[in-house]
Amino acid sequence: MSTALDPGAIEPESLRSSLRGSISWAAVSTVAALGVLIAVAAVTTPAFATDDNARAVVAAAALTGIAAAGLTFITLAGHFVSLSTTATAAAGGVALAMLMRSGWSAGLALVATLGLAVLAGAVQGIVVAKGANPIIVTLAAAGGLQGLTQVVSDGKEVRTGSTALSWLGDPRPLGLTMATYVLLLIVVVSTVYLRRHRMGLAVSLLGENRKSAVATGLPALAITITVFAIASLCASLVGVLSVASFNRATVDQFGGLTFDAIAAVLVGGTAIAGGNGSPLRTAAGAVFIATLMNFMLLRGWSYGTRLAVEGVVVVVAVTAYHVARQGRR
Amino acid sequence: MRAGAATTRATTMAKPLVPRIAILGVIWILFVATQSGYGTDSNLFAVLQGFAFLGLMTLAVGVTMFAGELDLSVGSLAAVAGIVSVKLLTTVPLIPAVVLTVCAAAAFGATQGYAIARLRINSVVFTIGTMFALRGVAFILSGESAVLMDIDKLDVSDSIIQRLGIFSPFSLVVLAAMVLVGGILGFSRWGREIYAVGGGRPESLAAGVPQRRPISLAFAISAAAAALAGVLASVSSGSGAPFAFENVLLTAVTAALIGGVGLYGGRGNMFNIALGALIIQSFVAGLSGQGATQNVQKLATAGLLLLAIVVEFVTAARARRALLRRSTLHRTRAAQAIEPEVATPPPVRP
Repeated sequence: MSTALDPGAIEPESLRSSLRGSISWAAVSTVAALGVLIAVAAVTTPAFATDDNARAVVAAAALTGIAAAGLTFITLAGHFVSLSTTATAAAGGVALAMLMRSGWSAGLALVATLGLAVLAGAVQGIVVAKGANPIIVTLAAAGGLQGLTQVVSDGKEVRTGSTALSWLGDPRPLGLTMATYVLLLIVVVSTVYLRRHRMGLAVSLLGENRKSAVATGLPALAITITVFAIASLCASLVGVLSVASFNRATVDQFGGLTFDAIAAVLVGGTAIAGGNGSPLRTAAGAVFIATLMNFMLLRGWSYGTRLAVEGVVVVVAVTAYHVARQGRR
Repeated sequence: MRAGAATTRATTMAKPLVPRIAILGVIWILFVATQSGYGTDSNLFAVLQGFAFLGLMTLAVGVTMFAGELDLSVGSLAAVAGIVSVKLLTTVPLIPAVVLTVCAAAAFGATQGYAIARLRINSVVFTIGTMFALRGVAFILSGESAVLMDIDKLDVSDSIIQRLGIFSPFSLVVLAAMVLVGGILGFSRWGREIYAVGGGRPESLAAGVPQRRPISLAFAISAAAAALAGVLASVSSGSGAPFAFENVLLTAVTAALIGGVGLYGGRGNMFNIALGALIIQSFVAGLSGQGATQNVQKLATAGLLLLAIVVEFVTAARARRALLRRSTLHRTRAAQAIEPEVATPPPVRP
């Protein structure tokens, strides 16, 4: 039975197209679209083509891009999306700030926070692997994490009370934020992992056709736990980087992150049914959206117009990718 | 009689109501016992007011879930409808304003549903885009801030939420809408088509069930319900805000799931929807009566969802085992028919 909420049951695309990955026409078209957008923006809007503006765009894309890159793993494995991105990011930020406020050293607090995030992700992964729907599980996890974070922080802003993380938050090598480099690192490592490492390849295979993958003995449980742990880790990194920059955290941060991350994954062209796509394309999707928003802002378009255009772009992008995939069968 | 023969009426395929009614009962008993104000008429009125809004939104996502899809744009659509209706009220009386807005929304929903059905695209990814786009439209239409109703129209606002016992025109309209949609879903051919495409898309296609009509209808209903919710909520509060109803989507999905609507499609009915919304609203009302903040309420609601998942899982495992037992019986009897000497007949259940 194939439905909108169980894409793993939908018919798979050709294996060849998914294994060619970022060298495929689809990735090229994503990058080409980005190139066209940048060209148009540069030609029509002088303020766009400056160094400062370029850095601002990339900085805006970086945090969403990090969360979206982690989310890509879940989508590639055929487990659809996670709705717990916002809650995980906020929880990560608050956890780090609280630990540091209680006197933990920055390094230890960092490790503990990321470890907790991996744990939260793994728990979601186990439940999904046992057969529960990822939408329900991540929805419940989001509520649980948000509630926990609220209770622990008493709803108030948490300040770290130290500048021990300034090495992460302040530097601007080449004028780019550290978040940008973290995103770059994640994209590079993910691409190598997904293309070369046995477990990484298994992720795409699981998403391509879950029944065959399980039947041929791929460790579905381990893969699922891994992808959810990675997504949770990346989401918490967003919270961590924010704390590093601002030295404070609240439970209500990153409100739009869940759907912004999903939008970046979709615009980047990763198939929601799984098996086809990459974190590189997702990063390109995040940059595309950030570039578009920046372009519209520079042209003085209102917030509502920018949001509406973003929505239309998502609809057009998913439709275009979908139609193109149908055509290739 | 064939083993495992079952009727295919959507109501009998719905997840059991009794445990959920029991949960509702437990929640009520618990809060009535621990809070002095909980069992009063005025609290019941307040719960039903909250239920009215949540119930309509749950109906909206629920109907698309019956069809095996999910409409994520309901919150944004409600915001747009709220703004449009508040603006319409400056020139048009209440009932025409409501009808106009709801019909316009239904037309949008039908278009959205048709596009999704025609493209055979995943409705989640499609409606994420329309969710953003509609939210943008809300900001554009409202000039980025809440649109307030004229002072002299405020009696209209009050008329919607005036107390009629424990009900109000708002909650009564919602109950009527649920009865209407429930009737369409349960007793008409169009309703059966919705369950058919939700319960098994390839199977329904093979059986000759039209695909585009039921999906378009499901999305039209979800848009109309979301718009009605947005209109009634905005008009009764005196303003239409572009940033309104952002979090209601996930609460509505939770309510649908807790009420017993099947996430994969084809299962559930209006009782599941109403129960789910009532459970959540009663629970949240009781919690806030205890002084719990919004986020603690979220935590508790997440716990309810987790409970629903576990119950779901356990009953599904039991049903799988029962089915396996029955199919083994079936296979053995078939083997009997082919080679009666070889197959040992097991104890036969008539």
